[in-house]
Amino acid sequence: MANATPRIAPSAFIPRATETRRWSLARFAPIAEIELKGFLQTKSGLLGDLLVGPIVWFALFAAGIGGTISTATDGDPHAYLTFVLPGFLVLQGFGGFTRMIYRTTIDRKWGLLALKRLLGAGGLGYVLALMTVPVIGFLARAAAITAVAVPMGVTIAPGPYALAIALTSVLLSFWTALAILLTSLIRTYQQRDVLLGIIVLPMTFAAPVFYALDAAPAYLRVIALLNPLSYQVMAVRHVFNGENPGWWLAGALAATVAAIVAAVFSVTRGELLGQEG
Amino acid sequence: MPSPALTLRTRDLGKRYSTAPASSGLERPWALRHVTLDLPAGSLIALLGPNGAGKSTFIHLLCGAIAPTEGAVGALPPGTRLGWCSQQQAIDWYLNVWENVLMGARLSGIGRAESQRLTQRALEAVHLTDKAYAQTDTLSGGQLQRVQIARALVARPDILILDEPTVGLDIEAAESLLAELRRRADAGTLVLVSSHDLGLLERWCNQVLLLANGQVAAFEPRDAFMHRFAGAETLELTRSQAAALPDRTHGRLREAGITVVPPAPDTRPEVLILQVPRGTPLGTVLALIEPDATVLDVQRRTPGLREAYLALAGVGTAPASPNANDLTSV
Repeated sequence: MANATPRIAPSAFIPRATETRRWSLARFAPIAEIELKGFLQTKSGLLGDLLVGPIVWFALFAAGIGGTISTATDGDPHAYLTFVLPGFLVLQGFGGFTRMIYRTTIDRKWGLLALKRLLGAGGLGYVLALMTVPVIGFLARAAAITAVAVPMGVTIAPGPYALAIALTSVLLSFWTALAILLTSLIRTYQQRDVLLGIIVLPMTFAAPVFYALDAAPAYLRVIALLNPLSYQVMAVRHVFNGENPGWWLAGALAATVAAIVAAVFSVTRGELLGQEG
Repeated sequence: MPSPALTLRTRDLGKRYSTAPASSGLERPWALRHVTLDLPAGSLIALLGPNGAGKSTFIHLLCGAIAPTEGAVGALPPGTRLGWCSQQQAIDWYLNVWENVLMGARLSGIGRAESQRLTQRALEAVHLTDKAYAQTDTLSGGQLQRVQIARALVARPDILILDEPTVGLDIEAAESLLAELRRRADAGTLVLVSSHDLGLLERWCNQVLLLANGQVAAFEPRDAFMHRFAGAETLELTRSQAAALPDRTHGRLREAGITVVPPAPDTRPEVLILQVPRGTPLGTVLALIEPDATVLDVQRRTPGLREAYLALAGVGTAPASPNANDLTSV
């Protein structure tokens, strides 16, 4: 059709509702509330997710490995568990990554992200609100692990341990932000499943959680240095041991900040629908 | 009273999807292009168009769910509150019905207590109070649709955009919804409704926005839209066989100023709909048809929104009216 109206540069025009409020914390509380309600709705999964899984991994798997190592090396049977504990805590933070991918895929695919932004959610508010449930879940898992670690003879210094847990709570936001970011690239459930299959397991075992980085084969050390989880594990382990985390912490924090910034941009600049009808 | 400043505005709006990689050399199709409109407050606008006309794209652009490839879109004044009911089931499956609707109010910045009250009222409006605490995955398609509608209505937005809201609703629920939307439009809300239920829209809307091939084919008051056919009437001929009309019959009809209206998806194949000048003798029409087809029954009707839509949406395949070339009313 003929169009007599002169062109107006988009920059001179009012912005789209969803392009504004990028760094605003608006609607943080309602979105965090929604996330918490959604989390608590899955009652049947909570017990296994928050208690059974972490305890089984620590009290059975890690303790078994620790026993084997102490027998072979004629060492302290509790030393290995003390070594594993900080990395194991970080692994609990990483454990929320899969759930977050599922959660944010739903938000984007079904238009809920667009709806939340349209109704006034700030970009930063949305991203930070999504981090509340992973933090709560992590703290519950950390409490469960602590409850079994102490009776098992793991040496815990309260101050550094509390600091290690606080640091892990901050660093796990990297995984939430990464999930939001990756979801902006996912168009189908198949892509999501492939992505999870490629990322989660290799990352878990390519980080020095169950082994010392210095003692690992050369190829594994190289892979571990490319793995963001390694920086988190090493930083938290140093803090747990009362040592200076140095570049490990700097690397982990830089990656976290970068991921959050990228996630905020992805929910305020990109297409907010995962599919187009 | 309607706020005179409240407007949903687009300028040279266009959207092209990147379905083919740039390296493929294939031209990416425009789903929507050159849309310049000011949608005014206080109106219930029927958004019409055949499948693929760009209705959902237009709505997603208005809501900011997708970014325009060119042009601009926005609501005036800044801070205007929008409510959106998506064609897809934008339901949070982790939440129950009450929490899904409450979400609409809380996310609009309304306090907890007031949100609870508005949620109750919105669920009453869509007759869903008995399912308030049901899990969403136990609901039927129509009930899920009502959850979305309640969530769109709950915060009493200044602008309401609903994409196929009557899909899955029974007749009473659809009528009730449109009546509620009309009440809100009369109170100053800008309501845009996309639907294929033309009978329903004809009764309740007061503006028509027709998209065809990704462009605006018409945007005008409903009565003006239908008035294009004031000098015409429609004959619905039931034939003995569902055969296509031969070219010579088309030629005879064209010479007599009679237009064959493209059939709607639900039109029976043996039915032929003709748009004829008002007062054309029935015998004249039958004389043009019957050499090639046996007519069993004839119904004469004054054209409504349906006929106007069918003629205009089919621009290019069937000349709609003497003014078909100046349908660009924006």
